[in-house]
Amino acid sequence: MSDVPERPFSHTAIRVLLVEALVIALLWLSGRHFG
Amino acid sequence: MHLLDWLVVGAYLVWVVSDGIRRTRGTDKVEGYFLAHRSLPWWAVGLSVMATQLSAITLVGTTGQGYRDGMRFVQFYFGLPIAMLILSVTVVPFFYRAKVYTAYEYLEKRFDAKTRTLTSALFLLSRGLQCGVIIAAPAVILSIVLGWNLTLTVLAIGLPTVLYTMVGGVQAVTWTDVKQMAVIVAGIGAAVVMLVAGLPENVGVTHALHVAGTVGLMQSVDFSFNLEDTYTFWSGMIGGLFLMLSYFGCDQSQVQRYLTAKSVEAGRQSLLMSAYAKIPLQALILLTGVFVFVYYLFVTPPMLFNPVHEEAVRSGPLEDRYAALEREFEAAVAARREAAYALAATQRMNDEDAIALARHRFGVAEGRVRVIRRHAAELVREATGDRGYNDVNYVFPTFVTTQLPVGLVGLIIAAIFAAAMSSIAAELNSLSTATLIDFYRRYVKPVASERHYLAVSWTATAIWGLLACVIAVFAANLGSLIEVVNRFGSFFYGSLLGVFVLAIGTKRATGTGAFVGLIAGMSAVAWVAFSYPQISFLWHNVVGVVVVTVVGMAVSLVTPARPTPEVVRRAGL
Repeated sequence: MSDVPERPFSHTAIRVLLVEALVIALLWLSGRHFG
Repeated sequence: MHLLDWLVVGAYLVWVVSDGIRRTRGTDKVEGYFLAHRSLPWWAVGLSVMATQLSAITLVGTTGQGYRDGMRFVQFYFGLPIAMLILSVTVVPFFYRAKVYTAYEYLEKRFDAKTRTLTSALFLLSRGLQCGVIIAAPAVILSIVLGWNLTLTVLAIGLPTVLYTMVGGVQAVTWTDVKQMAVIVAGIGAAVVMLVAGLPENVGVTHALHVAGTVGLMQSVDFSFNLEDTYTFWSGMIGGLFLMLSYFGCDQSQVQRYLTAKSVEAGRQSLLMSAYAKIPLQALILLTGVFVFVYYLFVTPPMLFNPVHEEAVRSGPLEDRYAALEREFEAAVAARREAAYALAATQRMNDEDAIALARHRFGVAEGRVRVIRRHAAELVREATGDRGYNDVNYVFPTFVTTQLPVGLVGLIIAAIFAAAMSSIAAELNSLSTATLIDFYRRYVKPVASERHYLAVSWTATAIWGLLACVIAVFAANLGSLIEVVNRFGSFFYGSLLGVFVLAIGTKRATGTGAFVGLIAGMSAVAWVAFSYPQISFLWHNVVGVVVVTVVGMAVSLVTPARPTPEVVRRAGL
């Protein structure tokens, strides 16, 4: 038995990509704001 | 170093080593010793994956890069989350279902013994040497900044790691990695808190970031496409993607981490932890370097951060020129300090013209300081003959040892030890695994008792560990050797990924195709690296993958032997 619940991997993939896009956007915006 | 700091570092070492050598449950079997009977929870494996990747040189080098170049290095990791997603649906289930100990063992199931042996031998050679470099790099820095004996520093980092890795196997590596990650994060967090607390009264955090941003240190994302620049969005997204695929998918020191997970899903989750956390963590480490830059705007920094090289210039024939530069440096730093105060003050007002003028003045003052530092570095190169000299790796340790209070110095030195030891332990464990599984059990003694194999595994860990310490002492005195070792790794990584693309991506590829493709890929990368040295090494991985895949498929198509149904079944295709 796994210690983490099974979920469709496509959902996980979308979530990872969205979080990455958000982090990169924040980094880019902080460069624009403070630069 | 103060007695209390020694006690903190000593307590850390005792804690980690004693915890590591207690982790012997189930290690009386080879599967328990190397794979923890595939029973570890995803979060522990995930932290171990992160701790293995974060070496001491990442910790001190990245903060130094934050100080000098700002946040742009974070782009190096932009390909990592996508790499983790790809690996989660490719190698993780393939390796797990094939029940292998090493990534290279899978290649024999899929191709043949020669491909397995070549890839495993390249891994042993490359990682064996790199293990020495991973010990050498922080040992050199700590010995210079703290005035410690170099050989003793190498042994202080290397021997405890060898001890617990040898006794506890992969469980010791994983559970000490968890603790070491906690020490690393605590160390970075403490440094950030002290840096923010150390800002002058009338300079807030946002003012400080605006001041750093004035000279470009807050620029994290560069969308320009330039093959010669390692740190752009595209280099990180494409070159970095292939590098991360190679590192996490084909390098035994990482593959072994997720092979210990209790299920395929747990293995995936452990990789996805890095997908979420790696970029923010690297951004935090770089931001620490940016805060060190801001801190030294208001407190006079040393002109150069490497005291040994500085002393070599001071006591040599260039002494007068260096002293004159130092006087110029002090005046330039004072002017920069005034400009920084003025800029922070204008930001509290809402006068755009005043802010623009203050930004311009600060930029000019910072430019002057940088020019003087560059001249000082040139004097060091002239005096010492070290043409590659730069002091970026000494910035953070110098800040820690000269500016932080007693106790915290010990915590951050312990964090640097933790970063080094977590990477070394994973490497020693994987070197021992590849030695036993891919060579000893494959060629020397295919049938023997568990007890015998464990004795060989202990011996292999000890020998690789001692060899790494010896290499570290030599590497410390040969700067160019470190570069050679790192370059060798980059020749090998992309090409190895190409072999796995052939193995998992297509049923038609043959062992001979993969073997010839691997040699062609490594040759192509070596040719590109020597003929076009201006091309960033991140792109070498792309070259390696493409050449291995194309040549490997071409040779496979003209090779009569197709993979049999038995091979396809064994490899889980």
